[in-house]
Amino acid sequence: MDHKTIQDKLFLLADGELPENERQAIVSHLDDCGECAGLILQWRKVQETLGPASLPEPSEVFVFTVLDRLEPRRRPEPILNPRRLAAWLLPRLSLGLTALLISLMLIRPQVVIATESLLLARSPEGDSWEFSPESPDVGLLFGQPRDTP
Amino acid sequence: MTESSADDTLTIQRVHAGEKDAFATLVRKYEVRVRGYCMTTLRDAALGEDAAQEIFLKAYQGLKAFHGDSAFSSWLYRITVNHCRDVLRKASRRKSESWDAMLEREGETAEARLTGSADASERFEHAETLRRVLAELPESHREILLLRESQGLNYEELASILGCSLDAVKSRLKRARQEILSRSRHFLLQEDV
Ligand SMILES: [Zn+2]
Repeated sequence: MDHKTIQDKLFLLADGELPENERQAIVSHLDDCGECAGLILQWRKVQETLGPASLPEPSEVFVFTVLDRLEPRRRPEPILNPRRLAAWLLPRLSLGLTALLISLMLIRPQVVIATESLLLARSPEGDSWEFSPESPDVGLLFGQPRDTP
Repeated sequence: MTESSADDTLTIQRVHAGEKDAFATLVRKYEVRVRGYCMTTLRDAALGEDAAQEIFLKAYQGLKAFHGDSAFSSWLYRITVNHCRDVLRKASRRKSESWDAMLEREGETAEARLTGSADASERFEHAETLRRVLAELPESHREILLLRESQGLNYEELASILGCSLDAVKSRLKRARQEILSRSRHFLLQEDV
């Protein structure tokens, strides 16, 4: 083998992929050829840097982090199915509507007057009081004229 | 990785049977190699860790579709290589450092630091420079060099992972090695002085 052929096979030598007779021929060539020997030397340096020694240390933290991410925490399943949504929503809506209607029927508008307002209000006829069988006129008590003549 | 592919098959069967903890066995077995590939390719420890996590999650999610047509390790490496390609492509859209600029900066410092005797810190810097050179290689060259030199895969495994013939593996590997040597020769030679 000449220098050129051997240079083409130098990497195969480094990989241990050469048959024994070729390996021996190349090894003996390296003794005489500085260029090929230099190339092998440089390649060994590259291998040292890129080789398995460049791999990181094993990490249990990494393993646990991966396992943690495999199973995300269970969350309540959102109701996205339209049928399930309707089955959940309709009874609640009708119940709420019924309750609203009943409350509207029961509550009537009333005039609310506080007892204190009545007792402390100033009587237009002076400070004397007399009993009357008639119901008191609220408007009169607050100083408004009677509607009736 | 092939020496224990039968073990992997058994472990995968356990995962398929619902034993999720069995997946931990696979993570433990391959995490160093996957993290190593990602860290060197992405040239960042944190990015590498994140990428490796994503790769194992993808593997777990895709395990149902894995029927053992190839070794699990080859399948995992394919996910790893493809994921790192994606990350790099996204990153290169944001920022790219040109080879010339790197060479200009590194050439001077590498020359200066390699003239003396190589102590530990110099060796570290030398390795860092070489990793930069590796990062600047064309994608196909960088991938095959890492898979061969760092991960120690044989030609058949490389062919299976990269989806090419044995002859293509040999010629691509040779070109990749010649290229990294030619790009780093200026400081590899100085180190010999
Ligand atoms: Zn020679």
